[in-house]
Amino acid sequence: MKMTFGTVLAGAVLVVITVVFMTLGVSTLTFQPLPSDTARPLTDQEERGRQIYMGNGCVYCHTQYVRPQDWNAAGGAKASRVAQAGDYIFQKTMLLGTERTGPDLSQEGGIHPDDWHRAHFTNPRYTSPNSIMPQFSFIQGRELDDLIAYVQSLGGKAADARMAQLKSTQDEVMKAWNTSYEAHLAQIKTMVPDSWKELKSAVPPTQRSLLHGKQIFVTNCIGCHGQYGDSRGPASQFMKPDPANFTRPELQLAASDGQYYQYLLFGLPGTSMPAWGDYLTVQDIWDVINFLRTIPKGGLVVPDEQLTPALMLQFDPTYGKGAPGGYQGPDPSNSDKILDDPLCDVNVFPDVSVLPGGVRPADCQVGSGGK
Amino acid sequence: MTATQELSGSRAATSTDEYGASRAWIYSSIIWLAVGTSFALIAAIEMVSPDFLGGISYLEFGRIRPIHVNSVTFFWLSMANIGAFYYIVPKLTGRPIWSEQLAKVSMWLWNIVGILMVLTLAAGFSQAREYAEMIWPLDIFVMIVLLLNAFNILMTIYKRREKKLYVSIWYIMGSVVWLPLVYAIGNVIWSPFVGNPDEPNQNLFSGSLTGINDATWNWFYGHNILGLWFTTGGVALVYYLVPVITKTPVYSHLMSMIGFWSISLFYSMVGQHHILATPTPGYLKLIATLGSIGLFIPVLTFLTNIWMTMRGNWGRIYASLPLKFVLVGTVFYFITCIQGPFQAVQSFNRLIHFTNWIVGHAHLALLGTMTTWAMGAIYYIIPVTLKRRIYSPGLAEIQFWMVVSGFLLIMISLQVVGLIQGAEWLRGEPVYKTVQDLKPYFAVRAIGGSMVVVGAYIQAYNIYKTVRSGPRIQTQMEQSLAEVGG
Repeated sequence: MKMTFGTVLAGAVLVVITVVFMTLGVSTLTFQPLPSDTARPLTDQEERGRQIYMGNGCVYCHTQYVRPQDWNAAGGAKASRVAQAGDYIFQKTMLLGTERTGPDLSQEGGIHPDDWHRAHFTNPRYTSPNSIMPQFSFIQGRELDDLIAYVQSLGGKAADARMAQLKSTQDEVMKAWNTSYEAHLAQIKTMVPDSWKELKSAVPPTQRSLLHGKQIFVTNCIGCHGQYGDSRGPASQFMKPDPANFTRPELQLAASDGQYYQYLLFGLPGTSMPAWGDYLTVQDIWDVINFLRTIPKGGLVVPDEQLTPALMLQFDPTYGKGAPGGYQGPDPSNSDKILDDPLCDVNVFPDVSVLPGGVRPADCQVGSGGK
Repeated sequence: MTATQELSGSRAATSTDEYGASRAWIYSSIIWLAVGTSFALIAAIEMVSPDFLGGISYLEFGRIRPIHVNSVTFFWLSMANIGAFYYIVPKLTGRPIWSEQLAKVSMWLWNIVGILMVLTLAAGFSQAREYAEMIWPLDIFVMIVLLLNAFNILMTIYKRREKKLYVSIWYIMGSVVWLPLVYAIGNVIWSPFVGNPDEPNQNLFSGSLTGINDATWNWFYGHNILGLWFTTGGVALVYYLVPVITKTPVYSHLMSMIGFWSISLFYSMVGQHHILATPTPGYLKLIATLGSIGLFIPVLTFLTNIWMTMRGNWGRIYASLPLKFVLVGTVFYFITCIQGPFQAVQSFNRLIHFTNWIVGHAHLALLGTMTTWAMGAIYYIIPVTLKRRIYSPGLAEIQFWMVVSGFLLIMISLQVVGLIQGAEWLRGEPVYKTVQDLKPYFAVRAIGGSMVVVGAYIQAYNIYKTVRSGPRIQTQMEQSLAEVGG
């Protein structure tokens, strides 16, 4: 074969054009999928949000399609769905993505309420401390509304259904919240199945359990619930109702272990509390719940060696006794550290001043047993 | 007039001028490498420490990343390759470039496109199509420059004095024709999207289709910009440099031909392997997988041809800096093209798709391979055409090791963490949990990246000093030495 000017030029163009026709041409002419059951066009506002999504390069870390082998990529247990060609029928410019540094967003709509997104866009570490997503604090006002509207539209009609559910639950929650704290506590209790309401922690509250619970709490929860468990984390400014304030005795006394378990596993509908079931194991969740019980008496401020079951509210020294790995009763060498004076409890927990710098009755020092 | 006078006197200036356009493109490319890698370093640090420069919109990761990618691909590699073409084509056709003036004008236009690219992307205007982020008005600008360049190079070849077309010329002809073709098709340039003019945020130009077929077009482009431009352009440089430096004819003409035709056939087929798990037609995936495996043919013929040409000449890599860059590049090319076909096979794709393995692979191709080839070409062309020796071979040596070892840190850390990510996802771990695994590897990547940045700045300094005060080549002997890369 003689490689002349004409041969090379015409050959190079013809080979590529032929393949282009074979692949792009034929597929575009013949592959025209119908809309899927969830596909819908975007509203004007959502379309504006999509432009912001495109302009800020969200597509480099977030995919928008779930592959058949992904069963935990988008929405977790709430909204997993393998992508279908008909899902994309109304979209101009595909934003499928090639990297999954952050979660898939194809079903993101209705997973979190707007409040959560507002906090998360301002600084993703507020709600998700391990995130490496950039701050989008420069997107504000109407632009932020548009962007959130777009994110809440992901998933099409399925997302709309989730959003509708979310909004109606939110209304109920807010109604109770605006009435009184007691009404709020009663209302959130209605979201828990009866059989769970009296459930006690399945993991006996050993010191190891509490330390593990503390570790999980400080690495995942303080963005909203605050570093002292007082609901004053940086994300809480964006959230209504406020995140749970674990220093409040009313909450701690009203909520059973099983109730907390439900909220951790599935999230608390109508609030910004997300489902942690995909991220934490059963043991992790029970350990966190055991730990939560120590917060009113300074579980987050005492040194680790003082974080003993004695700090728990309503601590039952017999619970789990004899069970493998269970609490074996007070350490005899250290028995005076057990806090057993109920009066002292009453003095301590109505007052958020267990917090550092706060005033605590002198005869009721944390860990001293109040004797 | 003696040979010495001829080389050092005023006539030296006129005789080097015919490569002025070549050098102009190369100088620009060197600056763009420093710019592009600097943006990369910022992005890499942001991946480790996300609140670094947090809240500054135009330095946000998602805006910096496409600036990095476009700078190093279109404005470093492409400009370095075109600069080298403007040297190689006259050498192989026996005549000066068709229009030196036009070549320089295209160089300036191309730089203007680059500056506009940085400004628009930093301002948040993007098509959000990978490798095709430049918005539609810039696409038009890009097309004009690409066509001017293609016309200039093709006219030079058409009006050549040397009748026989050497293999580098085939690849150059192919590349300059394929690039505008692929660019126009992949950017769906005839279908711009002009948003609602009443809504300022929506007024964003983006050529694209509606529906999932758009992804097929996007990835036809995304892969062919690599396969039918960077690869073929780089192969043209290697086919020129290795025989010239070793003064050995290319091992096999037949192999060159098989390589050229099979690359044009197979590379244009493979785009779909980027989206193997999408709900797109199955036969496209089949074609892509088969095409990817077929790529072994052009790759192995090219590498065999080059490495056989090197028979008896391997010792030259110690003496010739350009040859060292180029041959290390061929080793990385080999690794790239072994990884590539396997990545396109469903069973392995399941594991590594969406992970940082792919980012490592992209750096293997564009940094490990193409960048070292382009650096080799620069260290060859600058001394020969400028008639000055390199200001500091020692610095160039440091640059070589900085780029190569920095690149290895980047690739290895990303591919290791890619396997970890892939395995965890298959096990059912949610993405938020695997984010934590990335951090130490991303730190290693940032360290490797900073070494590459140092390499890029050393190159800029060394070439600047060479132009300003590199020792002049005085004798015929020195000139001959420069022409064999040493």
